[in-house]
Amino acid sequence: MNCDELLHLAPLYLSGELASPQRQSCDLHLQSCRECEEILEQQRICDARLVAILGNEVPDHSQIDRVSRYVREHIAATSRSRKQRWLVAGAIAASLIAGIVCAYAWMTSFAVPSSYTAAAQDHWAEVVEHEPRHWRSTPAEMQFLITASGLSSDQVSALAPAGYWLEHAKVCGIAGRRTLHLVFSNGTQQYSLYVRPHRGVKERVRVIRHNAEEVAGFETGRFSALVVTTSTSTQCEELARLAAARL
Amino acid sequence: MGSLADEFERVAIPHTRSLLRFALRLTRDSSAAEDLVQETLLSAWRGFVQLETGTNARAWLFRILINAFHAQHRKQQSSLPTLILTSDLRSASPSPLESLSVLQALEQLAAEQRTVLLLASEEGFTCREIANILAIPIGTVMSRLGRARAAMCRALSPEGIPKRAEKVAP
Repeated sequence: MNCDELLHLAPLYLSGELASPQRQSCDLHLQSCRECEEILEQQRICDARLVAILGNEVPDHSQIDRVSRYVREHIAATSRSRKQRWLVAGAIAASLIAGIVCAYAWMTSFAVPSSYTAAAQDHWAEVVEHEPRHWRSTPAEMQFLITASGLSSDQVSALAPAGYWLEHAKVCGIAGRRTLHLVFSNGTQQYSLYVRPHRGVKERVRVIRHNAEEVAGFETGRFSALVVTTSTSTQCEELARLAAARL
Repeated sequence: MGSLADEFERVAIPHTRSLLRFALRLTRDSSAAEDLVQETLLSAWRGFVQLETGTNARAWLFRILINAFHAQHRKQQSSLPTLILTSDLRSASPSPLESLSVLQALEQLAAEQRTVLLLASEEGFTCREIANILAIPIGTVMSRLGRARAAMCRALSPEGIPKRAEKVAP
């Protein structure tokens, strides 16, 4: 190490930041170079004199206290307002979530379940358009289907209003579920009742219109049923209520 | 106060004194120094949540203070910062004459040399810390510090310092 290198590293040497090998090189140079040793010693003395003089300049305590107090008060105030902001933000978030849930519930209440439209299309094709199907029309055949669906013949007879009788029946698939399709008639008008066993919560009659058909659906807790008719919405609902009371 | 505020109280507030002392040298005005330190500490509080564990909080505060001062300074479009030397010579333990000579020598330094010298000598920061505070390369810090010390030694004892001491900064 030469003198220029030592003086270049002097700030790091004096602050103790030099790594051990460099420090040792500096020490070796200083042992052999009186001039450099003197320079560094003078720099140490200058620093010490500076610190001794400036060290007397101490900000007065009242000033330190004033600044500290101001900062503490500001922090306390912002902490409070931060808490309040979080509370407000939480309330807003809760309101938004509640709003979204309500909106979703409201929208889904208007959404037509696929079973309603499937039943309406099935009724239109099989009952209104009389597309050929393998109906069960004899009492024995119909009773077999009825019993297999967990119902009794008397129960089924009571499902229709006075003047209507069970014309024919078959098993079909509505929205992918095995369903008993009963067709009641009064000689001039026909309507369909789709029934399938379904354990769940009771749901009151809900009527929707699909093309020319009125569809009324309900759940009894044991059965899920749909009434499809081409008559009025009121009539459809009455037919559904009657069936719901007896299922 | 919450735990973050408690941590700030523990980590930052104790440096109020040295911040004020340094701010006084920067602003040359007691109330301006007070405002600057308040601004520094509030700014530090706002950024405190992002301060990583193990960071040198004192160096971080000085950096904020110097940045805040430069920001104020740019707004006011005044001259380059010059550190104030406000020693009450009558109360200083070194002799008044010696104090005067040291302060005069310090006053004659270039502002950036004086800043580095005060951060190193008075505030006790290492060269790496000063480089971090001033956001300059450590080589620049070494160069400024070497020049500042050489100039101080030359001014205080011109006949006692070899001329080679002036060559420290390439």
